[in-house]
Amino acid sequence: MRLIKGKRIYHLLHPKFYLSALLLIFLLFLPILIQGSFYRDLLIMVFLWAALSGAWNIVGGFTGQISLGHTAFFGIGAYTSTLLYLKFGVSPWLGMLAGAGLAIIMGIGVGYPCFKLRSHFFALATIAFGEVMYLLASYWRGLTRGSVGLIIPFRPSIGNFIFSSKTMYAYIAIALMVVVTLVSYFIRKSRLGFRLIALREDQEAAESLGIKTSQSKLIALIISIFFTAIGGAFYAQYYLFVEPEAVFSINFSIELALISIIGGLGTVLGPVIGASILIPLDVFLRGWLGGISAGLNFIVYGVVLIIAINYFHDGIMGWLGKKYDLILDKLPGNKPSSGIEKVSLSPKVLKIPLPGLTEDKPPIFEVKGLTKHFGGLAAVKNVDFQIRQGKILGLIGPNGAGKTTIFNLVSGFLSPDSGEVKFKGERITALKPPHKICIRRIGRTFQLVKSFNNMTVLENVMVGAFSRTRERRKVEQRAREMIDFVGLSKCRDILAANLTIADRKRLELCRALATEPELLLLDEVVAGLNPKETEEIIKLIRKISQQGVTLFVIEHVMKAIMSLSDRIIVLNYGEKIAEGAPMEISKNRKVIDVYLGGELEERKNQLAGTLSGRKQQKLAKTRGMLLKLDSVNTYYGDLQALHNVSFEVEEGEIVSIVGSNGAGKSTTLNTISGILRPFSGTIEFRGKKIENFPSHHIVEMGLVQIPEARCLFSYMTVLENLELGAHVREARKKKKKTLEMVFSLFPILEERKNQLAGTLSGGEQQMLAIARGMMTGPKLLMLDEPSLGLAPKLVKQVFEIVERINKEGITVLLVEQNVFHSLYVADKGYVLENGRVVLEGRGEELLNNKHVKKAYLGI
Amino acid sequence: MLLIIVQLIVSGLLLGGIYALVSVGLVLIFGVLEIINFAHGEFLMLGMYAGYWLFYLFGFDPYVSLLIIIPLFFFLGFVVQKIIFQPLLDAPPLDQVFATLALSLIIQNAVLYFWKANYRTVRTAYSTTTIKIGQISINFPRLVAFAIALGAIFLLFIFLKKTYIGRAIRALAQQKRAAMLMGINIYRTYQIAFSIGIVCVGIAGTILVPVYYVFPSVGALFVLTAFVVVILGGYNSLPGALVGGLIIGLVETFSGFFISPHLKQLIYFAIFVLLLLIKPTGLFGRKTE
Repeated sequence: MRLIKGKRIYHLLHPKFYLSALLLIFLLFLPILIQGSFYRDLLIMVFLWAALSGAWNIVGGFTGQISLGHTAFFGIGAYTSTLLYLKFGVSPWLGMLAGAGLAIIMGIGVGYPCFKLRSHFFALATIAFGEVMYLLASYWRGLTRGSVGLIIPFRPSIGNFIFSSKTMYAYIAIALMVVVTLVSYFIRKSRLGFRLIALREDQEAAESLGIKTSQSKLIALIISIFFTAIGGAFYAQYYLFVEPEAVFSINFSIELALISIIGGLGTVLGPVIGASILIPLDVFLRGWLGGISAGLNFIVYGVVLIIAINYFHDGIMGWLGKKYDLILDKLPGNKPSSGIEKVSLSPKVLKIPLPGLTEDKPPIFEVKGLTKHFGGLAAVKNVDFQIRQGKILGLIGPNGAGKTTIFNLVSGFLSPDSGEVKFKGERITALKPPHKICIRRIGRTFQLVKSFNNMTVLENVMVGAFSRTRERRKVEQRAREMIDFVGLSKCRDILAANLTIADRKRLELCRALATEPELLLLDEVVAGLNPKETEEIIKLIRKISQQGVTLFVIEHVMKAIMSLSDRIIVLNYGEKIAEGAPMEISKNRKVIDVYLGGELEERKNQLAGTLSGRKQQKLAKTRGMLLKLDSVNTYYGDLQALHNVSFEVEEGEIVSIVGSNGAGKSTTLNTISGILRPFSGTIEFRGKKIENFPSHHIVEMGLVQIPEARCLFSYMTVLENLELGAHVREARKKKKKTLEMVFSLFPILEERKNQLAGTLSGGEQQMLAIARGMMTGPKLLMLDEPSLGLAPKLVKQVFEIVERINKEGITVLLVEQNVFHSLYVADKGYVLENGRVVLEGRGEELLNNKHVKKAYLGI
Repeated sequence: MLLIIVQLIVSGLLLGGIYALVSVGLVLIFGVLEIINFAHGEFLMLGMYAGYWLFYLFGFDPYVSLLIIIPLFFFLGFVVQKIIFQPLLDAPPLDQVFATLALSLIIQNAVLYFWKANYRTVRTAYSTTTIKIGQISINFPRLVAFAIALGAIFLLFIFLKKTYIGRAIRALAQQKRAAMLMGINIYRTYQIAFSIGIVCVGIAGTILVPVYYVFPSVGALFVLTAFVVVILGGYNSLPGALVGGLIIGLVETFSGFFISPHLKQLIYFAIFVLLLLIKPTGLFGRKTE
């Protein structure tokens, strides 16, 4: 008993509470203190707008959907209550509720389907909605008396919601503002608030944590519309005059948004602060400047808006931000709400029944015949596998094999074309959307870490825990337990945006665990981590497994997945090509072929003789240094993708960089091309330091990249693509000649020159991409995985073309997953792993090097 | 009855041609820069005022003043792009929406301040001339406006298809990364695309001067229609803007006659919202990468 009592008193003594109480008392005295009609009017307007903007903020700020049509609800509220009063004598107190009801119905009918639109289009749609209401009100004269407007006769009485003194209006406006602010506050602290903000931060991640997007947004919308309409009714009763110009105006909608933006979008007090500043400013400007000449005040408004967007992006609350918390800390009565640190004594943190005897039980997760096509391509073809409870199944395969597609198919993000998925005996095939999967206790993480960056670690995990229970206190406790379990206790109150990438991955795991999954899907958890961080996270994954969670893991880092998995399945071109224990897989001939490019073991001896002969010819040519990278570090968002990468390319050479997915191959090329900027290090080309040159300048110098996935202009013809390749000045002069050369190299392109590039086959597209690159007249041509997604015969062709191009005098930098072919053609090779150069040497040396195989297969 | 329908078709197409020219500019800007220019209507209004002032101060016929207005508006577009739109390229959608809305507010009210709200007109010798083809009457200035609009659109299409810069603009709209790798200077290309968009809408404004009243908020009337056209035609399709413009012109004249002149706006707003919900890519639009 005493403990509970103590808690209550502690709540009362918290500064947030007594400060609010003081503020409230101050507000109650204001209408009496302020004298003079003009100032009272201003006061009422400030309160009204604070309430209206606060209502808007529930959708615009919490949800992130910028509505510019809220004027529609305001007007509906105003007109409905007024018409009911004028025509049927209904008291506005009831009329406003009717107005709110009507507004909500219309809002759901129109606004709700629009939620799925992208921001620009959502804004447009809401503007259109507001305009439609304006037009209806202006031209439906029978009902609304059109532009003439409606006048409410002055008959003061409480029932009529008309008062002779402004004081009553002021108190009602204060009440409205206080109610809206309190509602905002409670939403923010409740499950709905957490869900809305999570949705705003990252919708996919939110859905995977059990959040029903539509439902959450709908509730927010309804609450917002309700108060906006009530505000409209109040407005009508205050001015006793309603006309379309005044209540259905886009400027109204813009002002609502502006108030919240300036005060602090998505905060509870933001709208109040914003209104306190903007409304008096508005009145003042209108009086001063508008008096001089119409329009001047709006100009200032526009400028204020632009400044606010650019410099005060988080509004005043954002700017006060830390200072606000610091001040609160200094005030008496502020104790950290953590209470006693709860240490999890029981080793069984996750309430999952331990496997026990699994051999007789059916597998917990079964997939049969899973198939998915994208367009004509089969991304996943007839895949079968099972996982037994408490075990870890690994999924590996080259880039584009279909691994993430499989994840998306079983976690509610995609529907399969055919096949069956069973979890705990229940058919969950094609179950969408993702929150249904979460409810059934399947959780997942994502390839690119999706943390809710503007929430603290604790809040992030609470979002996950909210999927199992509504009670905030329980949720907070559960979240703390999870955070302790994964080892993030020190970071509990830090914003996710400020964590290291390793901690963010831990956070994502923790958050998924909070949903109490029995099966967890992990998508490339280890990507981007250094060896030490990798070790630690593997330890954590094992710990999770020991708690009884079944795991299904995609990985590229072979070492990691080989040591973690009980069984592994290997995917290639969407089909399962092997399955077994890690040891078996690493020795499996088919798997080795797929990763290293085939025929490695057999051809090795054949090659020895031919290779040295070929290379001898080349050595004769004298070289100069064409491209040199020195200690280049590049970040991809927060991930450090390249660590001190250095290599050289001499003129006339073919240099190959090999590495598995996530090794940093494309990042390297994009850094050289100027699409990404290195954090540090230098890049020298033809004697000039190009690391800060704009991309077009680099191309003009003769350094050309043919990107991964080709990036053709699919809606242009083959010929147009080629002509675009010759954009730079030098290339334009030689266009005709280069075109002839290119057509002789790729006769099929001449045949298809007037065909749309998007309609070509995979192999033809690759040829077009290479040809287009050659039109630029490059000195150094960089190819990013040219063999990707091509059939073996075409792969051979591509490499033959690379050699031919080189013979024409073009230096080649080749980046590939296909080890065999690329090292076969290379003069020099580098092996990239996790963003670091781990091996270098002559092409044929590397081919015979055991370490290359090890790096790929983790043995 | 048939006569009325033909007359309506003719009027609708004439009107639609102008809508098309306004929308073409919008598509160019949205397709390439991926920013919705809420201030587009204000540039139309500026085009109208430019035509008006050149007529009253120097006696230039609006069609003649096009020769001045085209380079003038190209320069205007260049400046506006550099100051306002360039920094917005990587900004979140919220910022883009409000920045262009703010621009619209500033331009509209600056004009209000300097030139007042009076409705102004330009009366040329041919303002009320009508040509009669059989039983169909065609208002001469509207016909000229239509011809110029279509001519401008046609020239634009050729420019985009045949010149290096034009192709670069199309490439940038389709695949930004590949465009960079072709050695296309994307910032210069953004500027040119935007400026051309502004020139289009400036021309549209000038050719409207003999036909419409000129006042500060005239832009608002047209811009919402332009957005409907753009969504109908496909927000990244120029032929779509042409076809969409003509269709909306027809819809407006037909619904204005058969239903009510006032509710015509209602009709195509309804179309607008429905389109956004059912087929946001419109008739000819493509899904972008």
